[in-house]
Amino acid sequence: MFEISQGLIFAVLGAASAAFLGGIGSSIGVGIAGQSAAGVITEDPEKFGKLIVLQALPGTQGIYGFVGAFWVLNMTGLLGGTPLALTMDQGLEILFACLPVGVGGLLSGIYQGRVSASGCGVVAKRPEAMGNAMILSAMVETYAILGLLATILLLNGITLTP
Amino acid sequence: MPIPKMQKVHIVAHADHKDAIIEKLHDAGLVEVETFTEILEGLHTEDVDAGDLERKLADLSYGIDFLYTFSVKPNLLESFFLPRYKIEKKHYEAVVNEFDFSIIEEMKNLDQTLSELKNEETRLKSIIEQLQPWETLTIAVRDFETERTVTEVGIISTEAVSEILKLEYVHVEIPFSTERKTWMSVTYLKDYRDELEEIFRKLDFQKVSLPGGSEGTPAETIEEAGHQIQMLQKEREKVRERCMVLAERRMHLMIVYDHYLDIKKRHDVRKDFANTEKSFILQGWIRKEDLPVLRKELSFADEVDISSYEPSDIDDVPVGIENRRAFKPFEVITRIYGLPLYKEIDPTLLLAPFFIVFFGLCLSDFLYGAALILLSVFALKKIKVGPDAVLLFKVLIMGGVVTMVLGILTGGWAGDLTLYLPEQLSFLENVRQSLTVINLLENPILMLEIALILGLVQVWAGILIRGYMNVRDGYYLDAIFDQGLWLLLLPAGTLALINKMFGVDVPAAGLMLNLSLAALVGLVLTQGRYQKASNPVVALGKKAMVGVLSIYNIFGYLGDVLSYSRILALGLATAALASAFNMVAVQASGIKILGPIIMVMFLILLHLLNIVISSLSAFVHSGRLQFVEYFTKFLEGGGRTFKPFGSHPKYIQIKEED
Repeated sequence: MFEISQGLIFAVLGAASAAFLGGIGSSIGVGIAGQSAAGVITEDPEKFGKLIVLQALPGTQGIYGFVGAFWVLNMTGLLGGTPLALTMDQGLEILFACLPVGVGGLLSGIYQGRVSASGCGVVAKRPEAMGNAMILSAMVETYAILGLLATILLLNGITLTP
Repeated sequence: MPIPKMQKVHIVAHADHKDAIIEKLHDAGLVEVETFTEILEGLHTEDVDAGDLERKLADLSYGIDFLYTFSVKPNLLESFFLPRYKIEKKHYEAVVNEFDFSIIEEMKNLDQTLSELKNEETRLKSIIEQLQPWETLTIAVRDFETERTVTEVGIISTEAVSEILKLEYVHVEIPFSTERKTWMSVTYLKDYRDELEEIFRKLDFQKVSLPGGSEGTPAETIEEAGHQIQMLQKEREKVRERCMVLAERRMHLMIVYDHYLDIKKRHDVRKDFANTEKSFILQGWIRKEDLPVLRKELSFADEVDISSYEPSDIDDVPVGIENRRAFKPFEVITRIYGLPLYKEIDPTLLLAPFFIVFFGLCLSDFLYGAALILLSVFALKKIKVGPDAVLLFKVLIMGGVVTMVLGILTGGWAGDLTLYLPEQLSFLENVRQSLTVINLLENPILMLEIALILGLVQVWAGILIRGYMNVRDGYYLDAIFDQGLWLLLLPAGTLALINKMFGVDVPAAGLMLNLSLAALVGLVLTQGRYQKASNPVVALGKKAMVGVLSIYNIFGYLGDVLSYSRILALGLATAALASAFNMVAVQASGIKILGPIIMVMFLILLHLLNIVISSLSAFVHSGRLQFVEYFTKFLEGGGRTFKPFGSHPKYIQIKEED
């Protein structure tokens, strides 16, 4: 039997918060957009296909959070079943490295949801402007992507020697 | 790449030829007609009343919407791409000739009947609900008042019930009670009325009248209402069945709608003409290359004159972009942004290679690329989609090819699926490993560098295109000062910077540094050249100021280039998600007996999900890089789309007979 090192606890906390913060952001964002989409569908059921894409856009933050978590699990050996013994420092470094994707995803998910919701209004009136609505929504996502990138680069920079 | 040249046309003809000319123009679909604007003595516009046509169109569109509920729904993909139904011309004509508007009257009646039946059902249901507590009452409503007795029904608080039960001269029934309230009937001789009214008031007995207007007992009324509801439902089912039958003709309505839409267009276009007593004039736009065709089409009579002009500077010239077959699909992406101005440049060809490579890098998976191609081909073959959607799928097919190639180079085969293959196939893992040039998950920094270099190249290309446009339009100095200097500074400066800051060996490092300094000085000296002021000292100050501030654009370009890091991030997200899904699915194979089947199902579903999500991201973000980082370097945009007068059906597409 191995003993779970204290550092590992923080690494797990980091992975978990990357996943759940991004997940919360996406849940709220997809929720807001979904409400607007449902409103449009009551009037115009044929637009369902377009609206579901707009609703799905703020869902990526949750995925980025998951990717961040996966990265941590992979580098700490939690996936393979034999976790590395991490020092306290290493654990905390991993935890902090997870913040960009987590917190960035949380906030950008919510705001992207709002833009997507407005986009549903655009599609309701001018279905041909679907592309514009998608791009407006994607502008917000940029910062979730940069968060993921920062997290991965930070994690990549942390050296773990078993 | 260049935007097709446009000509303004005036067509003057004898009034007798008006209908024929409208017909020809409509069929040819070459001329965008605009309102004749020149005010000349003696010209008048025709009053066009399209009330009847508008009513017909409104009726048809009502019918199409009404029947939607009863018809076979288009699947998700079709509803995303606005289905277009291909109709043969013969069929089209037959439908239009046979169509009888009474079918729409019938629909309106059916619609009304449906809502009446629904209302009646709701009313009966609410009666049943209200009568529910009284169901076990044995006294019929017709017996509530007899020659000598009266029956009151009402609700009383349960505490007070005993007060009533104490009375000797009443008959009480309690069909329903709760802890707080009791539903009761009290039957008494009329002689005691005053006495009882007093007691009722004291005990707060709230009289109610039973709903339903029936004379029987509540139980009977409920049963009868139940019967009626069944009848109503049967009737409603009948009406719905009739609607379903009608719904099979929804396509006919669409055909006729498009037919009348065309008629209305030919009708409305007359409003734009200017008329004299015997002649008329119309004004419009046409592609220069189409002019001979137009002349030929309208050569059927002598009294038709066509004159064409080059557009002037104040004209709001419509823009019609035209690309070779291979690049035509990318017009979809140009159109998302909006068309360029007439004097600008068609960016379709210029964005295509960048877009497709970025798209491929964001997915970078051999198997995903193959799946994307298969799915797109399937969609093209099996789904009735409009012309725009066809182009979109073609972009996805090309994107799929690039994704496959880049997938091989980055070692993405549904993530790392080859790791988990059974022994007979495990050689594929060796194939994958040996073909991999960069592994994203192991060496993200290298990929980041590639992404940023691609960004620098695209930003540089954008500036170059602007420079080309300036040269084309004769602004040589602007091309040299505004674009040339930056074109020099960006690569030279980047090389000099990574040499100084990161100590990377670059060729001719000293020369690069000198070149970038020279470019910087050049920018400071030239960027303020258009600043003016009456006082020469102030003018010089302004010039210097603007010149120095222009250096600030470096940060703009820096931000642009860093934005391309998303290519790495999205590629990583696709790969990491794929690996995670593989891991999850392989866990499932441990389950007894069904394990392998569950694993395969999991693999298919999860990877399909990843393909959909990642392709959406890849498309949207590759598009954004074009619009925000690239187009802004050389396009103003906001051009007016060239919309030639002709047939623009909403629902159908007429198939040409072979």
